[in-house]
Amino acid sequence: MNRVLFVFLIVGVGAALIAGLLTVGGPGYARMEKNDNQRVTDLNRLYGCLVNLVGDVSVEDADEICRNSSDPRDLRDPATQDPYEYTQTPDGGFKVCATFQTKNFETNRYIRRQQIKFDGMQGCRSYIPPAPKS
Amino acid sequence: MAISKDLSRFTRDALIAGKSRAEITQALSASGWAESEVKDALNAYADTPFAIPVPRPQPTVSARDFFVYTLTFGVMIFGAIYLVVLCNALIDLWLGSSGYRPSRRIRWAMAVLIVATPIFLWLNMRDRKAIAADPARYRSLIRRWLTYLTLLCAASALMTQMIVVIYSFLDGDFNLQFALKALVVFAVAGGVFSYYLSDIRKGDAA
Repeated sequence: MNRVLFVFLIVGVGAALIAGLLTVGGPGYARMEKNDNQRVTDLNRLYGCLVNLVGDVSVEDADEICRNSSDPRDLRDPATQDPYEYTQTPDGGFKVCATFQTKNFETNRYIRRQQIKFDGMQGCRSYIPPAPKS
Repeated sequence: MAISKDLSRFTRDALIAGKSRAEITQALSASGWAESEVKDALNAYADTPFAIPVPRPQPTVSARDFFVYTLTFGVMIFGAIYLVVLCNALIDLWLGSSGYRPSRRIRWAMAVLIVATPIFLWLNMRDRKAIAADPARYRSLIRRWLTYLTLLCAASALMTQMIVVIYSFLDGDFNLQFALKALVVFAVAGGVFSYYLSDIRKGDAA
């Protein structure tokens, strides 16, 4: 009786561990998830900075100021160390984008709460200037 | 039941004085001792003809037992709780409709199990070998108390889960996800309960 229960315990724990590992991935996948969370934070910080400066200084200057304003870390992609993609839109707005490594944004509550729009693996936060008052 | 020192001393002295067990029982009962107390006091000495009363084996307590058994049972209970947490998180992930991915909860439970399982297996196998070599280890008071404490925890978990299942059924919340989670609790708590109940029975028989 006890031996059967013991085998049941070992098999149960082993199966649960394997299932857990297959479901959430190993350390490499966990690092990618953390990088994605960092990208979300960075995009929000860049967006917050740019949106405050965009009317006062040129868009290029605003970008330069914002990228270097968050000491101690320059706002760059945590995996590649490349700057985030920054694009001006024809309507006078802008969007800051990052290429994500996992599809975690589909299920992660934190990411889903953010105002980041995803197209494939690319996530962007966009600013559309308010329409001029007539 | 713990025997009073006075009662134990009196029983020993009476047996040395050559009084029969019936006479001792009568004297103690007349003095107000309960039947179970008198029985326990007499059972502390073997009913064998010898010049002086022969004591029966008594439960033992040692600091070493406290360390070994508290660690064994603690690791087992901790591991069992996180086995349930891990299985529940996996069930939520596979069958949940919220799309929430509890990765951290799963990784933490996996880390606990990776540490707790080998330690428990090693301590338990060590204990099994020691008991096979010396069945007197079944008399460890700490081992016995912790075994009953584990049985209490497992029985409480089973009862609580049963109440939750019935309540959720009556409340219309009983679905496959809930049923699987309940099954995990029943399997883990039931397994622990059966394992230690069988251990207690073996100890009583030894």
